[in-house]
Amino acid sequence: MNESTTDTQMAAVSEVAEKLAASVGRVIVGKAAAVELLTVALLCEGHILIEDVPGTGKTILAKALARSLGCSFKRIQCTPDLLPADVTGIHYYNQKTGEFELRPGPVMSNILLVDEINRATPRTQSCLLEAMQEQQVTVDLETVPLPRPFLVIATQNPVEMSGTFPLPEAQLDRFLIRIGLGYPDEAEEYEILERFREGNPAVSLESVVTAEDLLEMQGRCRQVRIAEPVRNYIAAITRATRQHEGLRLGASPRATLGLGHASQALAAIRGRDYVMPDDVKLLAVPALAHRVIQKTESRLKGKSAVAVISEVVASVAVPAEE
Amino acid sequence: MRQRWLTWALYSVAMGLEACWLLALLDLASEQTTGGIVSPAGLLALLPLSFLLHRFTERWRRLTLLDRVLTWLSGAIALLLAIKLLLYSGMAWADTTWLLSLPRAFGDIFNTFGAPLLVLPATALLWWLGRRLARQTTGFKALLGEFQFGLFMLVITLVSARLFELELSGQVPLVLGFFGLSLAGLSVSHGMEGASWLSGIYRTPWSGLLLAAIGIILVAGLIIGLIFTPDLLQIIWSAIKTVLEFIWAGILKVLEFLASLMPDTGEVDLPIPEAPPPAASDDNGFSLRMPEWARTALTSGWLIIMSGLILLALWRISTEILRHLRLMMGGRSGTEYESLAGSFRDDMRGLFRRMFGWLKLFKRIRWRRDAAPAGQAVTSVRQTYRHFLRWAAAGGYPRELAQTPCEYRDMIGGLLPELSQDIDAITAQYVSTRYGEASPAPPELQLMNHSWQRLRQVKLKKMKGQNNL
Repeated sequence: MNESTTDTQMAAVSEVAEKLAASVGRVIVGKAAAVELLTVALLCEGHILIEDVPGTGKTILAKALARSLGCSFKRIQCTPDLLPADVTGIHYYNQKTGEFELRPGPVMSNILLVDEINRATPRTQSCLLEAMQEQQVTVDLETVPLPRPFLVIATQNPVEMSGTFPLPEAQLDRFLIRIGLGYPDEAEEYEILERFREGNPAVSLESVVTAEDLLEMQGRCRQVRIAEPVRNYIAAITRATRQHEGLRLGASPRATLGLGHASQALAAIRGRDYVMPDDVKLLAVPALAHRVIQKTESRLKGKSAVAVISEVVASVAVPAEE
Repeated sequence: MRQRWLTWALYSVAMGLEACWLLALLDLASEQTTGGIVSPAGLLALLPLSFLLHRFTERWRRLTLLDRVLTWLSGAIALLLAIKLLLYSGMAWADTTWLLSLPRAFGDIFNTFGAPLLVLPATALLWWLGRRLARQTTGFKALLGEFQFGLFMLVITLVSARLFELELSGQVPLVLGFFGLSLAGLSVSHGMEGASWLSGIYRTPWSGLLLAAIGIILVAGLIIGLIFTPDLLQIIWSAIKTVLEFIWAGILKVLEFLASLMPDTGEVDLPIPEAPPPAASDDNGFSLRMPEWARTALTSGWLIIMSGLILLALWRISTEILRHLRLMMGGRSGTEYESLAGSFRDDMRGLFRRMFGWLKLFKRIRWRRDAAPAGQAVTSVRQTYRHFLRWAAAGGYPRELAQTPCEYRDMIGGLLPELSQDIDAITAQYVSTRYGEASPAPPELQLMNHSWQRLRQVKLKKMKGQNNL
């Protein structure tokens, strides 16, 4: 593939990302970085975990993204009595036809918003594992492929711990990135009041990208080059998490892959056909912080996983001249 | 509180390291110039005195004029006290004859080297060292510098003492004390900072290597001193001479054989050149007389300079080797570092530039790499970037290892906005070449080269109070 073709293709990806950001930006005030990370996850078929206090716009963000994509969107509000069948669907007996038919659950959509995932029981949480990883679900021994693109946006509230079931490490590792939205600043809060004064602007959003375009963009992102030094850099970061004294469990090889793919997507969003160490550094914390388990001593010292990953990144040398 | 005690401990260690080599140096100078009249230990007392005084006057540091006046005034008082207490201790304070000893020594300089003439530079050096130590922040880096410089000075002094056939007192305890203090100080400072290469994941092997190296040096030194006696050295030198004479005899035989193959042209008597006429004696001319002590001092100085250059070269070589080993062991996969040969080549070039640059000799001589006219492109994008990094580091803006080229560009561009355009051009080309694996087109290479040529003309100087972002 010659350079000009690659440049054009990456320019197209960048343009799509800009359109998405602009569309979502009509609803969500500020949070450009979070929207960019969402777009990264979207372009590399990764799943997103949004962890934040209530009322910061998690659900609205997911809805705005879904509407902008013109894809099917379903929402699950997790509660302790949610059953796996409520997620995947059931076979019911159709008296007219005399056969069992599949009633697909909300998981059979392009974008699935799972609100307060930590309130669902581990049994229900685990039924999402197959969906997120294998892009398929098994309902009564029948394996059903999920539509493409398929994106899970899960939210959880880090404040309320009673009546919750913290996500196991195996499931956390399946989320590509974890983001937090945070409270808006003063100017943003005024803007929110103004914007939502007459109603929800998300209702009037139109799709700016079709599902087919999105699939094509995802394919182009995979063509972004990762030079050998940058590949080594990615691997060095994840290996360094396994050797950090503050972590009981470091990042897995899945995390290495995820970081690599996410870096490709970010490079494409920025119009480049190659990954730079800056892309890797920017994505290291969102992509790795939720996948590691801290030691108790480290937590007791007041260090968060984010701080530990930042430390790791700051200790790994960037592949550049010296 | 603990931190304060540790800081004072480090200051004491730094002063101890300086005291070790200063004691040896002053002892040598005193023996060589004044026959041991001036007590080196007595002079050395000025170092802690200066340190304490300048720590006390630290609060007035910002009042530059007052600070300088205090330093000079206190230095002058220290000089007079040193002369009085070390040279004229038996004389009464009321008798002011001792006050004139220094001007008298200057007046008699062409006949003899008076003891006050040694006390003057020694006092100045000690006073300055005490002030420097008091005003600097001590840490691992500072102590490492003290160790390196102290080792260098100690070796120079001991070698010079051997050259002059002088026996300095307490050489062994001095050297042991030096190494012991440096080991203690480096361990404490390393423990305080925890950020040096000795505290990384390779700290155990590196600490072991450091201890082993010190142990090996000490043991090897003792063994070498025991084994390589002058007689043994004489035997070795005789053996080398015999071998060289044998080889030379062989070469002469080969030349004779080759000459025998040539046709005999007969002996030709070459005219004997006339002896040159004897030089006319210039009885009425002015001849510069040099005191014997000055001649000795100049000769000794020349020997010391040559020995110093050799040791400096050895020091640079060992530093580069250690740096190379550190990089290799540091597990920085993907990080590029220059080969040893390239480092030495650049070092030698830089050394010659520094030595002869003030003569402006080398401005007109183009080095092999710069031989091309300004219009031609630099051969390698990565090489240019490396040169750019070194130029910036020499100006006080080194790139951190975990800093990406773009982050570094933003940092240095923010600090030097007038150069940001050229820095952007160099960084952009490097990034696309290195990470994009793109071959730069000639115009792009030229643009990068022009940017670099413009940057290298600028002599960077880090502004006071300016920190890397």
